[in-house]
Amino acid sequence: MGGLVRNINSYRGTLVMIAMLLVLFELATDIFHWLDPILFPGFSKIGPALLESLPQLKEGLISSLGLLVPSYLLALTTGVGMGLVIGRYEPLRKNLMPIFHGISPIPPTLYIPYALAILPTFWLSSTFIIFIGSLWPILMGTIHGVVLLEGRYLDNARALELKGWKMLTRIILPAASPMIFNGAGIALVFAFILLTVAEMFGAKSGLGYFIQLNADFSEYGRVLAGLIFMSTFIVLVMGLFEAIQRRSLHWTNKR
Amino acid sequence: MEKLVLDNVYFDYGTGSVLTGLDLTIGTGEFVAILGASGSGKSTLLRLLAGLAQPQRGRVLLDGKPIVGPGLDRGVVFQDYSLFPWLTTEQNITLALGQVLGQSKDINEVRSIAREYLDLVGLGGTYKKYPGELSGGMRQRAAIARVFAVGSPVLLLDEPFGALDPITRARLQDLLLHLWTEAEQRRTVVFVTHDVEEAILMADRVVLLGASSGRVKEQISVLLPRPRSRESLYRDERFHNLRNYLIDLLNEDIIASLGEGTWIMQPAEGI
Repeated sequence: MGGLVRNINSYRGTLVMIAMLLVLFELATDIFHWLDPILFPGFSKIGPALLESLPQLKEGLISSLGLLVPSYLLALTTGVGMGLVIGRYEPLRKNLMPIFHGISPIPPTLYIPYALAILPTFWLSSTFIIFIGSLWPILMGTIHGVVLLEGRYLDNARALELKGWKMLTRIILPAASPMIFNGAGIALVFAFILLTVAEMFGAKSGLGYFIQLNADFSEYGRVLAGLIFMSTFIVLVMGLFEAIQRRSLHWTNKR
Repeated sequence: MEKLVLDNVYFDYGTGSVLTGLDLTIGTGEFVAILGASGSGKSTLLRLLAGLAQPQRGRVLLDGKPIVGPGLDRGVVFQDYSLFPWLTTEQNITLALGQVLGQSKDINEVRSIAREYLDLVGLGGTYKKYPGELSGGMRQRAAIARVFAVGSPVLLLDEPFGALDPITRARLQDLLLHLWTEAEQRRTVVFVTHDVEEAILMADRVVLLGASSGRVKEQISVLLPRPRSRESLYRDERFHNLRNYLIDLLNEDIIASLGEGTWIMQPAEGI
């Protein structure tokens, strides 16, 4: 409880800025009607819309998580696993890097038609799109982490005759973990973007679907309610991610 | 008996020669200090003995056999990075112990050995601390605990106390000497330093590398009796003579490489 109070205190500036934005938005909508009332309903409409949609939003969230969690975890394990091997084995890295540089900047959304055509279900194609999009930052981060690994750690490990699996898990992985976390954080943001995009095409549930559906019916109160719900959730997830990151990398800021 | 032999060793990093035909023999149980100005190749010499680098020419032998790579028969302590910062002091030692004892040993047993050695170096309360939470002196204590726990017959120490303040440094010198003297089977120690007094205090023999020759410039046996205390050494004329002699030799090289007489006249850099 004390930790929560401290956390809120340290983000006082953020809360003030959010409050100011909300006030400005309310002034521009409900009070002075500066903005288009259909596209930008005020809180008098967003508030009730949010309350009445909560059950649907919760359901959507669970459905979205069903897409996000497996694809992100798959990207994480594949990316870190491949990255460790490719980073350690120079001939492989040398030959693969140009190919990676060619493929990684392609927006994963371009694969959507192929994914939909080739993979049997919507769930599989969305998973694939999110997986591909979040794989690259993790893979590249891991490879860089392994390549830039400090020689002194390697000397030390070699002097202890560490090899194989033990070398990989006890030395290489932790030594590379700052860069891996860096990539994984970027990948998480990508995963959210791609999740929403994927759900806007042909999904029957999920947060992206909820927003798209209400936009189609010009229910912008619900659209904005959905957006607010979603960003709140993303903030919480990112907070959790950063907490895990801080915990795992506690040794980096002291040395 | 010869433990370590460097026979006509050549080494360069591609940017100029570091060692050019160096010869050195170190006996079993001997404590040898390698002294030299920076750039004299003393750390390179240690890396060759550790098997972390290979000579371009010449032979590096351990018990008469060529050294082809690093091994647990040689424990290495570096200046300030012998511990992995993501492992606690205890984990750092159990990781090393696991390499010697194999997986068969019970983890609790391994842990208790690690704690025993941490206690021995005066780190009793720090089993669960990470290196980043310890002072430089405590980190080096843990590194020494690790190297003694592993029990390698050869210890290679690369300026292990170079980054410490004088008092911590003196304490750790005493600790190392104590552990080395107390052991039933004396280990062969190669101790790299640029501190003349440290070399004399610790070693049976001081080997001075030339600043730019890439070879041994001078070797002197330190015949002062053990245990040596700083107090008695400072009163001993032999200590001062030896110290002055070595400092003169070191300065000779430094002055030669600077080009005596010219440097005073040069405008100061950065002004």
